[in-house]
Amino acid sequence: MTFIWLLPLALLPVVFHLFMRVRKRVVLFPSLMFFLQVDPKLSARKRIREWLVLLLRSLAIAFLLLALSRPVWLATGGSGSAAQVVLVDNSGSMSGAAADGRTKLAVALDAVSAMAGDRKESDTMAVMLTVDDPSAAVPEGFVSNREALRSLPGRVKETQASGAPGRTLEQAVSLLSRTSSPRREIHLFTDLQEVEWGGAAHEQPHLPANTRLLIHRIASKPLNGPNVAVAGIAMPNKRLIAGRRYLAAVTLNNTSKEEAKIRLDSTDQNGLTSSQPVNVPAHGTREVTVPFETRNPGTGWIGVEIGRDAFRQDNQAFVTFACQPKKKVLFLGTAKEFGNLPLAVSPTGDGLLTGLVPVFKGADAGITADLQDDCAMVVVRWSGWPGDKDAEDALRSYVEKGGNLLVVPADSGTPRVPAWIPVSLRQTVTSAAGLPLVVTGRKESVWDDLRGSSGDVVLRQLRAFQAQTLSASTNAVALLSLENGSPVLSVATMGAGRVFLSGIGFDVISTTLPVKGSFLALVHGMALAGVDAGAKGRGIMAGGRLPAREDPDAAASIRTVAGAVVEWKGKAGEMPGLPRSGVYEMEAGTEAFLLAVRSADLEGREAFIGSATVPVLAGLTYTVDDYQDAESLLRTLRRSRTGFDLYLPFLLLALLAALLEGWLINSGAVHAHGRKLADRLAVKIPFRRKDMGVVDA
Amino acid sequence: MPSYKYLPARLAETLKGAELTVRRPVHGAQVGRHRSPHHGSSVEFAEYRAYSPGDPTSLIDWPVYARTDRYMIRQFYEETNMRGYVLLDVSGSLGFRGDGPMSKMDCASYLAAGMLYTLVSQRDLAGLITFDAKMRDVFKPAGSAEGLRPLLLHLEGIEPEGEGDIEAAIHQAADVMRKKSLVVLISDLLQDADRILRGIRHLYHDGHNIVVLHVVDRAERTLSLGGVAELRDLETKSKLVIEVDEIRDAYERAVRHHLEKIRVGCNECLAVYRLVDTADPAETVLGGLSRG
Repeated sequence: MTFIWLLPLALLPVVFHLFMRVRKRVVLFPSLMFFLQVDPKLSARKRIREWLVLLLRSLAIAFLLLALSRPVWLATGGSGSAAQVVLVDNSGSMSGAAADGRTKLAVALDAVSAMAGDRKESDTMAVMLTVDDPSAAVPEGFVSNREALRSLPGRVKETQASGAPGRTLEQAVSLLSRTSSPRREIHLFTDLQEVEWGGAAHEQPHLPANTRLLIHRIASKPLNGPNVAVAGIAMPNKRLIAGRRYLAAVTLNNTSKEEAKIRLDSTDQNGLTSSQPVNVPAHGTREVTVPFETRNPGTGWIGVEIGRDAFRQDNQAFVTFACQPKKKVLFLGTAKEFGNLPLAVSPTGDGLLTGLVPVFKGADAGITADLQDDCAMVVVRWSGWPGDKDAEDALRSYVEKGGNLLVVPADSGTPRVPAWIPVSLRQTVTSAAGLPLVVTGRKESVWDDLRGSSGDVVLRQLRAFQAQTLSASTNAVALLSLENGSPVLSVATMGAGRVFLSGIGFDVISTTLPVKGSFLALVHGMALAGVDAGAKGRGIMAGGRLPAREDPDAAASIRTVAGAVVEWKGKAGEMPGLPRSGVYEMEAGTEAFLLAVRSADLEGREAFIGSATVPVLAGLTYTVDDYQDAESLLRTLRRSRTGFDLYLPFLLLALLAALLEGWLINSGAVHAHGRKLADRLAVKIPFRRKDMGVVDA
Repeated sequence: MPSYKYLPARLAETLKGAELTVRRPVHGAQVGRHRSPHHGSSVEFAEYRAYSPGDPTSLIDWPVYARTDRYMIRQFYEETNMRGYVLLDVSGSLGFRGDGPMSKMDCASYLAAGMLYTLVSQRDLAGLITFDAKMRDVFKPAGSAEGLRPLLLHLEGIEPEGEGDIEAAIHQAADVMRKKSLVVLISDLLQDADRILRGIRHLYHDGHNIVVLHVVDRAERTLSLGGVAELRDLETKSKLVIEVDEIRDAYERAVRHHLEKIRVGCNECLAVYRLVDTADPAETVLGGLSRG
């Protein structure tokens, strides 16, 4: 806090004056004629003098506070050492081209280098980056070594991150407030990209006294073509198990006015790569799927990169995930009782190609031990429910905790519908020619692998020869129905799990489904429905805050797995930011995990603040100038470097105001004393009228 | 005689033998002790004049004829009673009470009552006119103690209020008063001195004998306040904030200047001027007038 914030105290005399007015003694008097004879302008004179005295008092206080706040006049005369903090915006947008064709970051670094070489010996300078970059090795705090600062351009590289203006400014102010230099400057070199600098102002730090904030705006050259950014990578909405191949959805965003024709490349931790041309409409988004494999259980990652667009720093994205080992599908009964279903679960019976292993158990056998996390689905016949109640309760509990249950028709036995099953069987329909089946619940995730490029479910010419229709229920969604709308395959959500209820047998006698290629996809969609806890990996946007660690003093390290190279070791509480996309192995104490970093997708937007007002700095006093070149910058700085410390002038002005006020307030007494003395000496002197105030009634 | 608020028995007793004389001749309806502008049959010699045919021969001064061989008639002054009018100021400023034992209105009322009683006691006629910016109440002159009763009772009910204009009131009163009377002006004379003196000169021009009783409070003359004060005019209600210590000297000079100007102006009109402090007893003031 500086004394300048106390300036309102200069109004205290006025406040006291108004307060004292209330306490004046009121006296009834026969006539005021003699007072007005003494001075007809008594009221005006009194009022003028009162306010003059108040003005002088306020000025005295104001000048004193101004003196204490140590202002410096930066126009002419005097000199003093300066403390400069140079903030360089190294966010992704700064890798765009400046007016001269170089990157804006290169232009900014050249300016910093020039400033470092031009400063006086007594000046101190510190350089800070708006995006933390461990590879830049920017010296911390004020540096007196010119060469260390002049070599910065070779060390600071472009990033793919968004900067944190408020945080960086706060650090700069903190650094400056610790110096005793009479003149302090913060220079900010930036392109003033709107997404970064045009947001709402957060709580701003107070600039220390005598601190100037100068923003050097570096003009941007328009991009040479359309720009597409990776807005996100969505993992498949199903359980990820080892030994399978999946598709991830990549969202691409075109921020330019023309259609972008790009190429999207992907890779995963197993080296599975893909490359495909993609057209993204102007000002539009496009979702594209890329394949990845889960050969082994554990954490994996996918990386995508856009090629052939005009701006590179928003083109990369990585995502991590966790996949489970092979899972079993528990059939309550024998293999022949489930038609082609076991074959669809695993053609080889050991999960070699599908990651799903069929296991058969009699309905009367104990199944409780089998209903664990490694069980992807339980398949039971309508007439084959577990015999004892404990087993049925265990089955229900398994579903509610996230498991999948498939109920299929039986060749023999009496169908039974337990009370907790929300759908019941209605009637049996048969047709030698087959009844057409239609897909109804198209949005359900079980159909995800059967969707075409338009997102619609591709499942043609499916017929049922024999089926039992199901009752409609508000708790269940029909997946397949007869043409008359009667559902024959439904799904109901119970707790965290799902119950698939089928009125058609999964064999060629009942339906044509087993002979279709979509059969496998449907069965596997049902078996792998849901998401395992912990399957979603950790990820941040470049420049974002790293996950907080419990023990900040624990040994920590960062190592690159894929993407930009970072090798760092230190304390967990001092982990640096990650300004570029990639996959990083993070270790902190006993904890280790993979962290995916994706490039900031808004850095390629071509919207820059052109005015002298920077919204994110609202509340601060600053000046914005358009950076031309290093030479003109240095010329301006040299001119402003000759400052004049206004401490003494303001102190003298405060003293003068106090003296004048004292003279004015005591002038009446002085004159009265002089007149008495003159009377004593019998010297006639003109009577000096005293001033008073009059208030009209 | 019954006791009145402003004419207590003590004051009446003191004034019983008082004799108020005037300098200028007065008109009167009856024989009295004051000189009339007409010649008459008093014992006081006035002048000689030549005998004119038609004059009673009994008036011829025969010793003079013996010495000068000329017929001369010896003339004597006529003596008559006089009308006295008390002009009493009842404007708001009279309500002030500062350091004195009573308000200026009370003091003025004592003086008015005493003056009325003195006049009646010496067989003169006494009337009362109250005024502020103009005449307010007019009581015709009475010649007996019983006749004074309504006047004295009226004094007890006076509440000083309103703005005053002494000059205007005097001009107005001069029209209702008979010429060559006694006019006793009782006021605090808080008006421009020149204007007040214009009114007094009007009275002088009408041949009146004038007595000015200038009632003041000591606090008015010496400004006994201190510090910062907000003054409120009793008549105009206007306000004035002053630092008393700064203004005191100039104020007292202005007051002295005013008093001196009034006193000199009164002397020029042959008026008797008395500065009456509210602390002064009415007996003393009126007794002083009687002694001349």
